[in-house]
Amino acid sequence: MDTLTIIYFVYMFIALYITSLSLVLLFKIRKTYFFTPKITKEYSVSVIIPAWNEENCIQRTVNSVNKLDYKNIKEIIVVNDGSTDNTLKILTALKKDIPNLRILNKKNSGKADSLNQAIKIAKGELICIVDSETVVRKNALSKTVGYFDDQKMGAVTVPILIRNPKNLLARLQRIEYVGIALTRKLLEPIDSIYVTPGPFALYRKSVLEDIGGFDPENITEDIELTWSLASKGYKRMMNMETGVTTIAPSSFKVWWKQRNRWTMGGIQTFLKYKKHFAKENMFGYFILPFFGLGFLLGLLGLFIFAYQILRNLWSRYFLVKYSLIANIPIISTESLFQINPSVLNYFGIALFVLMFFFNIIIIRIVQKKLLKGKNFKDFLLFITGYLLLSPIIFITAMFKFLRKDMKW
Amino acid sequence: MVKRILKNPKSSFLEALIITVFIFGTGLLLGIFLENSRTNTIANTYIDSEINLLDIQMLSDLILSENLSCEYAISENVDFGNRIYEDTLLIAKYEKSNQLKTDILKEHKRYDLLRTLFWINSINLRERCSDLHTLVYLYDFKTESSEDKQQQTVFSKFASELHNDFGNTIVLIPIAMDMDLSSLDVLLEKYNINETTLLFDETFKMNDISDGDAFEDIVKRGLLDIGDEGIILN
Repeated sequence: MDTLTIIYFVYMFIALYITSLSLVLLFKIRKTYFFTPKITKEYSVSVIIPAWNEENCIQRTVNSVNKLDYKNIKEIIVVNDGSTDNTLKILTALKKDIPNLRILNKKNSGKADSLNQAIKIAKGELICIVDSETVVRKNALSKTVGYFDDQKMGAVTVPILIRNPKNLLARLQRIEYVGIALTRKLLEPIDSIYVTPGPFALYRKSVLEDIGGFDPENITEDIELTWSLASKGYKRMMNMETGVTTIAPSSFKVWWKQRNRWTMGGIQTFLKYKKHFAKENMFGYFILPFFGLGFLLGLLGLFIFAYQILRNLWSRYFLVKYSLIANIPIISTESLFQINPSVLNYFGIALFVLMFFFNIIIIRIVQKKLLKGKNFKDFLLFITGYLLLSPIIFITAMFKFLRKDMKW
Repeated sequence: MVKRILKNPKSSFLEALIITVFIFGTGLLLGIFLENSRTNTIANTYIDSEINLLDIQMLSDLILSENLSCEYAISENVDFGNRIYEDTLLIAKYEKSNQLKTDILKEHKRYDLLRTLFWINSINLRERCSDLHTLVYLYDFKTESSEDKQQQTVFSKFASELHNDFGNTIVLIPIAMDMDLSSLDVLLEKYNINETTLLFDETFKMNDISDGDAFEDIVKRGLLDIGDEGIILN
């Protein structure tokens, strides 16, 4: 058996394991997928919205928060992080109609610092972070507050979906976001939700204070904060019965920049928490190894893929060269239709079947709530084109990270 | 109290591991079974070919000693050559898809020995039957060089095309040179062959694919005395 075949077997085993684990977890939570705990206590909530030059969307976001059906919203704090546009003007006008709206006006210091400053002055027992582009569903708080009866609960998030996709790129991200929500929920039963994303997350204030808030040095402050919660044993959960919407980048340049930031932030966070590897709880035993292995296998896979492509091209070059010299056809019909199955094909089919079952089950569970209006053609393009960009992003992000070219 | 985290998350990991090991193990077992079955197919075909070769050797001996007509012997040799050529293609196909076991390499070696015996028999028979023509394709089986491999692919296609064109009159015998067969090594030394070569009637050899047209011309005309820079005369 050659080295490449052994590597293929290792990759296939891991892929089969992750797919099997997803199936097992999905099976276990299939009946409680849309579970919502009852509200036994109306915790006071402070909603914090960081804003920097958000004149186009801040009004809509604040209005949607103001319409939340949860009664005990203490305040809506909008942090104007040194905006140079009309954000402050819009907020001042909004304040006339929304009495519990507070504006924290400050010099630009970045999202994490803005959030930390707002957390300090917040009066609520729970802190709800909402991005300035988010539109929340009415029940987003009433469906998530109930989780905090558990004293170890640190954060609760909801599906983040894309609204009004303007073009193909945004439509592809809409599919991606549904996929992210579905898979994130699967990690809940094994206490492995690794990000409570910026567009909407509800935290216990005392927990945020315990972990020291957001890390201003990290370029993906939401991932870092979640890992900080996980490392200290605080629970993170997800409610699938509600959700929020946000805007996806519709220009490739902005999207590219965002993805690079996410990947670099992931690497940055991994390095910060590597000392927890294989220690204490699911964070050390699963999340960190899962990410570490993901980075390692992703990187190795890319090198092998590049090596194989180059080797094949090199080989093809000689085939064409000698075929032309000898005046022999380069491709024969026989070779095109020669089917000769090997054990490698079996594993490919097994993986496909497992994934097929996984998709069937998950579609049956969520079709009415999350998959309405999704285009099949877009879905095909998502699988065959969009996902293939991930390795390229991974390479550029690694490169930027090594050059310390890390910025928002 | 919200209890949404599994009481024993380890059980999910273990269950997933059991499923994976089952699928993976089944795959490996199926793979081993499939590859064994292919090796057995080759081994069984080999036995038939070995019997046929013995028959052909005896037939050749008879023709040489009893001064009998060559026509039947040539026809039998061509038929046998075609059969073992088909076997060669089958082995090559199975070799490509076998990932777990290396038994098939032994079969390859056995077949190379069989084909060498067949070649020797053809050389002997030609002393009496000059109408028997052989095209021996000698190649490096173990080469790792991409260039050599692709050059051999083109050589093989070229030989195959010649065989398709003249299959009723020429016996095509592909043999791997690097299988450590002493009998073959002696033949290779005798005909001064140390690289990928097509050898026609042990007289004309082509080791540069650019000489294909001229070589094809020689094969077509069956001429034995054309002096050409591209074609190396024995």
